[in-house]
Amino acid sequence: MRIFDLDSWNEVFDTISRNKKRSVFTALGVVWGTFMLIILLGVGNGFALLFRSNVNNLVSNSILLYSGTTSMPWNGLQSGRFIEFDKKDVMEISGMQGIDGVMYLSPQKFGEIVYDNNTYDGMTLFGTTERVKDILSLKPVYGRLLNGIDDSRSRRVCIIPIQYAESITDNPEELIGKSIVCEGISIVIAGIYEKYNNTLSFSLNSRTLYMPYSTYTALYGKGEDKINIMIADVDRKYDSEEMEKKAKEILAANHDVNPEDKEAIYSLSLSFVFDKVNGFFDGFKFLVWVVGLGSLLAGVVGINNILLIVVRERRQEIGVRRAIGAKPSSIMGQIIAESCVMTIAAGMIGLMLAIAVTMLLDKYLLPQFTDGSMSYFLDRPLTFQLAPGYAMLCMGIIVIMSVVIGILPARKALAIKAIDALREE
Amino acid sequence: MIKLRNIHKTYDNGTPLHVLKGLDLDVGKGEMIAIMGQSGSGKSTLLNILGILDNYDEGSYMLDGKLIKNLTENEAAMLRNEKMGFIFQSFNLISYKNAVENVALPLYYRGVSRRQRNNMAMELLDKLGLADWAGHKPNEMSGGQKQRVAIARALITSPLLILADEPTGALDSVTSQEVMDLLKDVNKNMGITIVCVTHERSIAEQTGRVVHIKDGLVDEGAY
Repeated sequence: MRIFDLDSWNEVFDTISRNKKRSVFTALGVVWGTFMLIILLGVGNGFALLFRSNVNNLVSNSILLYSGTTSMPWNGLQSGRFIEFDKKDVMEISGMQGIDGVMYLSPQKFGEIVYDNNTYDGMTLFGTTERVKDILSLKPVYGRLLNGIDDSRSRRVCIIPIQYAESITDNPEELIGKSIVCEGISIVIAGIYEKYNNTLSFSLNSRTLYMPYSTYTALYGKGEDKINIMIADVDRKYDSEEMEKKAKEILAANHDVNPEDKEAIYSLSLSFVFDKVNGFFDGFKFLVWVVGLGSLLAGVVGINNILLIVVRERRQEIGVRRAIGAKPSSIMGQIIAESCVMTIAAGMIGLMLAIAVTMLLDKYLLPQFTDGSMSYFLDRPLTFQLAPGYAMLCMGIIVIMSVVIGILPARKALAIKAIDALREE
Repeated sequence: MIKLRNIHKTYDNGTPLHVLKGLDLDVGKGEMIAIMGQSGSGKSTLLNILGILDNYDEGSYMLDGKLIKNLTENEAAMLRNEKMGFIFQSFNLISYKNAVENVALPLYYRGVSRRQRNNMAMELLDKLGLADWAGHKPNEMSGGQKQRVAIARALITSPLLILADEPTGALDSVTSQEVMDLLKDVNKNMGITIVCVTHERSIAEQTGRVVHIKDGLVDEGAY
């Protein structure tokens, strides 16, 4: 086959178009296979990206510690004691080598708020520190977030989520500096925040207010130093699981808890979770490749079968061509070119369809997972669309497959002897 | 042009069938001969060996001074393309190609450019009175027209030898005569050697020599 000869390609297209229905139905297998491969890879990568956007660098190496109830007697104390952390614990864990800082949350308070003589229920209130913005990925929409001075001066301020603010007024910005009454106590709204990731969802109902821990303790905690949850940032140079173990030992000693008591102090290394989920996504990605390539292979095998039939149908023609001087390479090239044109054309259609569908998914599905917010920590926006490199890789695979599946029919064609084919005339 | 010596050919499909049993044949340059014989006499096998479409087991075959033996597929293809033209009983034109494309096909395998080969094919079709049918596909032509296109295809490479296997077998008597006149003209005016396998005596008698094959050998006593 001569690549730069128009007749060569005319013959290829003639052969394909001679039985249009058969060609179209056969090519549909490859269209579907390519479509599935691209869609699965795109959606798989999209979800992996979505997850990574939700677990930023800071959080991914944190330890989550929260208090529970003892299940074992220890040092003469009975089981069933409810453990509550305090600032002494925070200080000791903050002082551990390898800990960059500790964010903590008071026990939560449920209730309602009153603004402009209207009552809005469903409120959850936490006392916390300025680090809440880093750990829970808060960003200010209006006003500001909590700072260290708020805590040191026990300011009567709070920050509220944008969703809650929007349920109060059509113009949330006007709430900044205004007072709300929360459980009978007047507090000034210092800022309105939104979360830009959803991993550590303590604010499950999106009506969570945060205020300085010292203020919370004074106003709602009867002055008692009680902490429910601590989140410690571990320096990346340190093993977070090792740090988790040490932190639990400190807490166990501080609260007279059997170090083996798993129900008294719960802990979670987020890097462990992160690694597990990453592992899941890696496995998922592998599965996607297997399923996607399997679908593609099924389509390609269909083309292979059709080419075998085509070779059988063209037996006499191949015989004539060989009689008048076609070399084996020419016959082989012709069949492989037919395989390539059919497979690559179908692959391109599948690719374009998949791109169109992933664009639609980006437009309509992605916002449901991201609430319209994009991560600060990604070098590219969240998308279900496949990176150009992946798309090229898929096309490369299709090209290779198209050549490989053309080889068997081409060899069948080569096995046709002119004399045998002509004898059948 | 052709020198066959002691050619043996056996087909072994379970039971060995010794088709050619030491056949000798000489065909001179520019000669036109007919090969006749009963069914199974070995005339088609002989034609296939002459056309390098099949191998022989023993003996020697010299074509234009070259020994045809143990050729690779590529060598055989090149020799067929350069030195031979084939004409078949059922024309064997490619159905989805028009007359010009069918005629030009051997030049495609020779690497001639599309424009040049189509010009050459068109010129040849014109000479054979088929210029008006150049753009037609085989299913739009009569048997005689198809065979003339097939002859044009055989001639396009200016071969030394044309091998015709029952070239008039599928034609009526008038068209058969037209085809034979054309072949005789080609032989006479272009000096192309023609070997024609036929079972029709009237066709064979129009050639310069008739060779009878019987039981795998040239039957010297016939005629």
